[in-house]
Amino acid sequence: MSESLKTTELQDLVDRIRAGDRHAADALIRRSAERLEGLARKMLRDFPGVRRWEQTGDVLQNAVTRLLKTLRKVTPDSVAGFFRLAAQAVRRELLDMVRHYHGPHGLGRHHESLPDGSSGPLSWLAIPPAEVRNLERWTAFHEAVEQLPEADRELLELGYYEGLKTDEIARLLVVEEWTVRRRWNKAIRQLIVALGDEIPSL
Amino acid sequence: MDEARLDHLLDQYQQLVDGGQEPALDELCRECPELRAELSRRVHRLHKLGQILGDPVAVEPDPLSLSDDRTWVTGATPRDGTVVEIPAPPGYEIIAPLGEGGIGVVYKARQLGLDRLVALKMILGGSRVREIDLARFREESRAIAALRHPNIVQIHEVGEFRRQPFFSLEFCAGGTLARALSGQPQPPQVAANIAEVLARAIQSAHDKNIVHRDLKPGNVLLCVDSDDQAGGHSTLIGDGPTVDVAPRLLCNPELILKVSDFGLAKRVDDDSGHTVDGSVMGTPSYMAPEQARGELKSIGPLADVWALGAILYELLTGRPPFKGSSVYETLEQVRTGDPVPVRQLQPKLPVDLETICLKCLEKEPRRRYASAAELANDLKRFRTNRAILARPIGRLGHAYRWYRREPRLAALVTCILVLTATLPAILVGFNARLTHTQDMLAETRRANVAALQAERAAYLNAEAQRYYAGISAAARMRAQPYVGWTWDARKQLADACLAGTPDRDPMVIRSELAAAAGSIDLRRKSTVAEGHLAGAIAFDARGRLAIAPHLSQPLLGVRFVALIDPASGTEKRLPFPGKLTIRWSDVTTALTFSPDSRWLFLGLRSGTVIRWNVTAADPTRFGWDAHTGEVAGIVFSPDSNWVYTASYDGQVKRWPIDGDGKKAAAAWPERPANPKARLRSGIAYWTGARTGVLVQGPGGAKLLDPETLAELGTNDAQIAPAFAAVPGEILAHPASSTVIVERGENLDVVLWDRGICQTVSSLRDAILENGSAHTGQIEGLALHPSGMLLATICEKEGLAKLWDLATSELVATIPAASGRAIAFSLDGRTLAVGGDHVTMLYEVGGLREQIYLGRRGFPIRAIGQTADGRMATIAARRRADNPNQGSIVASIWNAEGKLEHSVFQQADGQLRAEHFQIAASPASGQTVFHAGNDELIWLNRGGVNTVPVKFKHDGHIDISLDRTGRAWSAEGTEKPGMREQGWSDAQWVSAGWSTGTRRDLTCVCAADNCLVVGCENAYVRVIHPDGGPIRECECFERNASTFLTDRANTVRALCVRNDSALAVAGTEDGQLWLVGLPDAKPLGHWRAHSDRVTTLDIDPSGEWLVSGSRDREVRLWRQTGERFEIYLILRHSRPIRHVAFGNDGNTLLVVPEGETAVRCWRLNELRKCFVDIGLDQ
Repeated sequence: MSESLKTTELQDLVDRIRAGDRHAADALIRRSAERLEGLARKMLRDFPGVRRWEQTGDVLQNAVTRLLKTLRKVTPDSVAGFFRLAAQAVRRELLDMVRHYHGPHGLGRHHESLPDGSSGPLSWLAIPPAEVRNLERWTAFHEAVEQLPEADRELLELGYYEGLKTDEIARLLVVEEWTVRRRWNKAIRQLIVALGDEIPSL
Repeated sequence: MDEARLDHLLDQYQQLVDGGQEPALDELCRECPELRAELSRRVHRLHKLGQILGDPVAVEPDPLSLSDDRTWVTGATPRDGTVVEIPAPPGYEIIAPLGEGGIGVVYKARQLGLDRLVALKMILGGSRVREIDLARFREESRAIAALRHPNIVQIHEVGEFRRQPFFSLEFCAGGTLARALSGQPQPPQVAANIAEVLARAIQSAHDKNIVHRDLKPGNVLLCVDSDDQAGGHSTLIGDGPTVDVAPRLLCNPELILKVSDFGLAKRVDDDSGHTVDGSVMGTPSYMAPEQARGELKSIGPLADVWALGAILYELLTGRPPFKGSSVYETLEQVRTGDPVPVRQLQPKLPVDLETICLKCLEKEPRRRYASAAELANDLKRFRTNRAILARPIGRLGHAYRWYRREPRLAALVTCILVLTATLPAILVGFNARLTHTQDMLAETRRANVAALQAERAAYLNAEAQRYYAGISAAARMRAQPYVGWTWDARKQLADACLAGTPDRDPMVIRSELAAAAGSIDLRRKSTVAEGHLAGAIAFDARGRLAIAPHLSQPLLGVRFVALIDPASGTEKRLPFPGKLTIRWSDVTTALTFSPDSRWLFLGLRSGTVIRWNVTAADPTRFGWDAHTGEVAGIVFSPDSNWVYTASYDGQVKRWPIDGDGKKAAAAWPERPANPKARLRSGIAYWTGARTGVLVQGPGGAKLLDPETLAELGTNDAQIAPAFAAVPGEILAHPASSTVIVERGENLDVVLWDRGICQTVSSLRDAILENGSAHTGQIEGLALHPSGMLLATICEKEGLAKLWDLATSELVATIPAASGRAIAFSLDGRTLAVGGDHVTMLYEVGGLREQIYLGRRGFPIRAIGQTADGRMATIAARRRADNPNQGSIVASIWNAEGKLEHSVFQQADGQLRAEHFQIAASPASGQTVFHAGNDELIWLNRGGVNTVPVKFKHDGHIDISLDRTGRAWSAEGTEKPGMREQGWSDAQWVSAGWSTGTRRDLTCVCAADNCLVVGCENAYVRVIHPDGGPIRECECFERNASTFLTDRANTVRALCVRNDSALAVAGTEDGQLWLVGLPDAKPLGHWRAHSDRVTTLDIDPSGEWLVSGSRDREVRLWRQTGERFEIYLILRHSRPIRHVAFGNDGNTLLVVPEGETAVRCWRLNELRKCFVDIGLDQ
């Protein structure tokens, strides 16, 4: 379902979900799962540790499976409602994923220097500090989105986490496209203020 | 910095970009050049962020599509170790890294002592790893260590290095199977061989209850026997065997496969939490569907069988059975898709091998091989060219799979197929097919019926268990009661009542429920006044509770009484009067509400009395020094106009309730003889035959005139011996003529009535050897409003106890550490127990469905009804030293159970016979009492008349009144006779009929036009007076018809139904006989009890029969048709002396032997109980 959806189709899907049609839900859920996978891969693509660690696959599977579980429990009221819930779940999974590599107990933490300043026993595995910082920035990015005011966050949820196009968002929210555009710009400005220079790079 | 301005500028910038322009920053910042630098930074960030977020305007394909770069999904790419400076655990020398797992890193290393190559697995990150990872790491080492198999990598050593766990494994130089395969299909024989070897290895792990959960070619290591274990020349995986050599390697007969990486293994029997976090683990392409669904509970050995099938599939086709473009897709395929049949990819492949492979890959675990061993065996059969056991999926199987994939379409197609198939069938072979179909249908029906029956049986079994569990739990609680058991038992019974089993016997449930309902019990309800040790507690009529903290200590701020409303939980503090001079530290000793609940009085050890008017929103308070010694008790006149205080200074004083406290209205004695005497004193307001204030003075109990406090006359001198020299508190319940006297650790129950003052019992706790109630001084007493329950509290023992005065038995013991105060609420439903820093409120259970009536202190000997329908009792107590003497009280009670008057009472009079009888004749208005001596006491509207009678026999005397008011007595004599008694006359009538055998008469019951007599020889005789004069003895003889029940059984109880058409007789051996009247026709009999039937009654409607027995049971029977069916059993702790129905038909009176009150079952309330749990609706 990578092609754009017509709103009527979307609404139809949601109606079918509410009527208990699991296939309809699966179509939307599948879309979110693919988006999650894509975003995760993009986010972690250049992170050198990731390629080494077999568990990345596990982590992603966990995330996808959890997302599926979460979304299957959801009975959305509206199309926008569904996408927003899905986006929240995607964001949470992305955050978890970053934390997995770079939390207080994350796998990426062993790069830290020992107190005596020498390199640790596994220093050959060390991750360049720049990449570590980028992970930190990703965390900050997702958290900053979470902190945005409701209306701004909504735009990012639909546009970024769910990957919807402007016209789709406009139909979902029943507003003009230029309104979406304006609100999108505003959300980005807010994010810039919140993040400062700490913007993750791809 | 001007944020708003910057935001505006950036907004403009964005709008320009959206409009397709390329804005110039200088232009934008023309008016505010100072912001240009910052704007430039922000624009830079904007672009950076735009890269991440993508622009939703862009309609070109999503840059995040899933086309490339799947390597990171599939696994590890070893990193070349350029920095080789790795500290190794002692005894090991690290040669090179081999790869990293999820949490571990594996090195090729040399074990120095043994000089062999090993794979050394160490944990990443040391102390910083998560607990769960550590647990998994340990789990892996444990799992491998538990396994010994040539095809499983063996563990050499487990240890810790620099606080990092590590273990060393056998080193396999051949790399992994995945690398060796490299997408190349293998010859069938080789593939089958490899799969069989792996299956057997896995089976050995399953035998140890270990499931691998992550079997895949990447986890199968290759060793060749010629591997130089000791040498250092083996190559790394990274530059190991190339794809070209792999086929050769796999065909090498010396190849040894080793299953490795038990990192995800779990013990089937292990429930440690770290694998249950809901995560899906494993590698998608080799993951069993149940694993992919995250159903952790169902992941068992059969998941490994699936993985073996997936490996076999890859061996045969060169690719795993499922592989999507994304993890999601792969998982979805595993869950729902079917693999491409092997022979579509490799057409030359033997069918059998495909069958084996696909059987492993069944979605439902139960359709796979039951174990890895079975798979191995089938593979062996294939290799040795024998017939395999697995059956290929037939068309049906395929149809089933298709149906599972497309249920809707399948249903549609099925319908169409069925229609098109059956139509010609009907036309062509209608008959044959019909028969066949019928057979099929019958078979199906039979199978359905059998399945339904099995299901029904299982259901019934479970329900029966539920029923019996509830019933037996309730019975157990009844046998071994604990505090609160009645509520638990009711719950159990309600549950048992819901059980849908034919075993459910409503009678059993009713009986157990009645036992719970009729028992007195306590249940903790709430706690109040936390933080204070209660010194005194009182309830008012509205259910409010006053608690006086024991110590009145100004420094601690405790100079108040807490007024608590348990219903709303509100607490109000009534402070002490400010002006009053109160000793520095004082103790509260007495607290009482006036009967009208307007006043609250508190007495202190210093002799001070404090009064609050609690009707006001802000209670007015007043205090005065009433005594020179401790205030021991405060009581009120019933009209709440006067208050009496008793003190250990030896004085009792009378005060106007709202007086100024300057001078008492009266005092007794005028001056205390010895002001320093610290006599204990109790006080109670008595409203018995005489009204007065009952106190414990130095010389014993005294009754004082309520106005003058003068000692009342010497007529009451009998009080003195009973209470004499008993220093202790007293509690009085005039309604039942009972005074409770506390003597330190002991409690005496005293009956005080006109002419009688006797200690009728001493309450004692069965577990205390010295016969006392508590092991220490009793600090507080409380009498239930019914007068039937007494609560005591002992600080030393730390216990409060609840006593049943009808049985004189202890019914409940509850903890009350440091308890000093105890009180019942006026409705009798709550008991407050003051303990250490908290006061507990208990709900009092019982006394609803069964209440006590007619308590006069002595054991009840007979109950009956007067001619006008009031309850009458005879209570008597024999002297211990002379059984022919004793005290008797005969009483009449009104409908509310209040004593109306005593028909007679005597202390220590003649008391010869054991037979006590009350008989009445409503038609004639006569009632007669026989109280075990040679007198009959007649009662009618004219009053009471005592007629001396010389009975023939001291043993069995039974009396019944006929409708004309004549008394008929059956006297156990060798010469049976009847006696006709008149109001003022007693005349012996010679009955003199001949029975042939000389037997005593045991009981008599007068019916409308005949007499029913029970005999010792088991005869029930119906004697028709036949209108003739009673003197005509022959008439009796002539008309008496006889029937024999059992000659060995004596008739012990008789009753006649109101319509005089049926008599019931109960015998020595517990049988009940129905006798039709007036022709004495036997109507049936049954064994009702296990011992002598002692008493019988039929209710006024004739529907109910009640029987009491020496077996301690009362059984209630209900007439259904010709028979009486058991309705419920009331179990008691003593033999049953008497049962009777009340006049209204809604009460059942029961007197067990030796109890001092009548147990009155309110049948309506009891039925409500039954209805409440779903019985008898």
